[in-house]
Amino acid sequence: MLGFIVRRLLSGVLLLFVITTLAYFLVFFTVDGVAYRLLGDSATQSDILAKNHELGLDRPFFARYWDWLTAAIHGDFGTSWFNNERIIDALANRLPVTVTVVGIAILISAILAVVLGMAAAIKGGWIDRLVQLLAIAGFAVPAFVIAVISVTIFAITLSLLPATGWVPITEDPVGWLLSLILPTFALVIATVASSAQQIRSAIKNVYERDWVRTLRSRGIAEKEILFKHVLRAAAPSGLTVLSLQFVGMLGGSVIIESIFALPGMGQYAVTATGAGDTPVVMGVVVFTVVVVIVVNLVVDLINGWLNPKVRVK
Amino acid sequence: MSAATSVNRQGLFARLIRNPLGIVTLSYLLIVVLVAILAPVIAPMDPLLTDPASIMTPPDGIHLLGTDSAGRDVLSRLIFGAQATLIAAVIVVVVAIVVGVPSGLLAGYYAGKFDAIASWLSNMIMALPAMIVLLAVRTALGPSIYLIMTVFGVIIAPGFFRLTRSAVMGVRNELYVDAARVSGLSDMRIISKHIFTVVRAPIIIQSAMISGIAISIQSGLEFLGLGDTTLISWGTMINDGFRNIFVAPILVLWPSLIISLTIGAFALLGNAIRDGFLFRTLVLDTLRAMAV
Repeated sequence: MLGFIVRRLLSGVLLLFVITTLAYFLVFFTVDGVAYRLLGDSATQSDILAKNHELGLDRPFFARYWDWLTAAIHGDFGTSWFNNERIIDALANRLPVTVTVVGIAILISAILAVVLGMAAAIKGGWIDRLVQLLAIAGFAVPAFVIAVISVTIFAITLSLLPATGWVPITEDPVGWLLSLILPTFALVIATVASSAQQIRSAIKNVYERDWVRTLRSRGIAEKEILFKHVLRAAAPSGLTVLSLQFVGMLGGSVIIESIFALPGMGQYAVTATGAGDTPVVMGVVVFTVVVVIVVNLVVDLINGWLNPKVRVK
Repeated sequence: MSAATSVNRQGLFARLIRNPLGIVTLSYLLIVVLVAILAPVIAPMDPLLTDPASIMTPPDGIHLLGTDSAGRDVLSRLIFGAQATLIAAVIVVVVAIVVGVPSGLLAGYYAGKFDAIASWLSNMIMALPAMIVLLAVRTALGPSIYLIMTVFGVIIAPGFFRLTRSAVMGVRNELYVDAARVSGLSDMRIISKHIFTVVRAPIIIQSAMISGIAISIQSGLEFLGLGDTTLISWGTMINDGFRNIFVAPILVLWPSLIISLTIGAFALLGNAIRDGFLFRTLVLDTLRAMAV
């Protein structure tokens, strides 16, 4: 098991290095217009040269990349081009917001999806058809559309909930809870049915195995077969579904945070992208990749614990 | 599976239009395509014409669906918005097929090193939240939605890669492929003539689903104001409506409705085609997570 963990960790670090390097090449390869964009139309040639020197953009690309990499390893992502805020501090302030929203959403989504998926796989009939129908509906209506429509209905027409904004839990726990309802609702609705659908397929797949028939023929109770054998065998696929869903939600939170004016990483990234604040975008990419790798690592470890075969491979 | 595919080959379209779901979704999408092409002819007004005298007016005889925050005709903008949406979907699907299918065929057929590298790359791409990657791309390449959608085609290509690869691996050692090899056919010919037929149907189904995802991503970026602001698109219309949600909430309704109907039509079409081919695999799997 220890060897398995070390192997996974190393491959995670390698992945992080490859992705961030590619991202750095993508966003920093051409920096010609940067100083002009920051200074505006009135900038003279010497202003631009001075700004480029100040940002270090007049240095060779690989020297810049090396500096960035060595600093990033020490947890320093530089400062924003626009307000000189340290990016690592901004990210540290914003990560909890994103993690709270996505974490609550994935938790609710997972519970509902497992219950619905099990019901659809075991009972079949109308629940099964309902889950399939909802999966298509969830596919058809993007999360931001659900968010916009739910703001219109619950916040504006019925005035039950706050439309946008974020209340820290330390200031007002009730307000915090209320400000979370609509964003998590939008993320859950967009994902729950398709997870349920996939968990249903995973459970059905296991039910079709020969060994389940053997268990039945030995007279073991249906309940015991389900809880002791089938669910355990279906758990790895279910976990993979949920981890993919989590990554999807991280992407979805980009739009959701912007709609609800939540001060999370996604909203930070959107603002920075719109302004052309490249170091900030780069910082968000690194943070996101780290979160994704950690989640995948945890899922791999749980899968390895559930299924010894995975550990050997 | 290969036998079923060849039997169904001639009949796919016929089967599709006999299936009520198939005919409804196909007709709807055909109408959207026609509306996009004929937009300059059928739009009742100039979609860019602003009218300060009638801002956010409710539907009336002149503006059938009312006007937006700049006094532009909502119906005409919906009609022109179909163009950007469909172009985005076509770009994504074409790029994803061009990248994903040949690499999947080669990886599945030859296995070995190429497969190892391609699979690693594909897993890496699939592990990332597409939206964050697209923000980085937008930062690097600027606000061209078509350029961004081209990159999204590459990001979603693993969907085709995995599909093609596993289908090819399934038939690689079938007797008929061995027979083709023994009779001296070149690898290229075996892959293009005998193996490609196996994956054609799943590719069509996958394309329908990916079109839906492409529309979701494109309208999402336009909604955030990160696309082309000069372009008329459904996402920009929702953005405009959302800014004025307290004044005229109806403005978000039309583009939301049309986006959802169009994505839903692609998803249902994919499922209708699957039924026509008697496939039991659900195509929503794995892909949905990338769209959110």
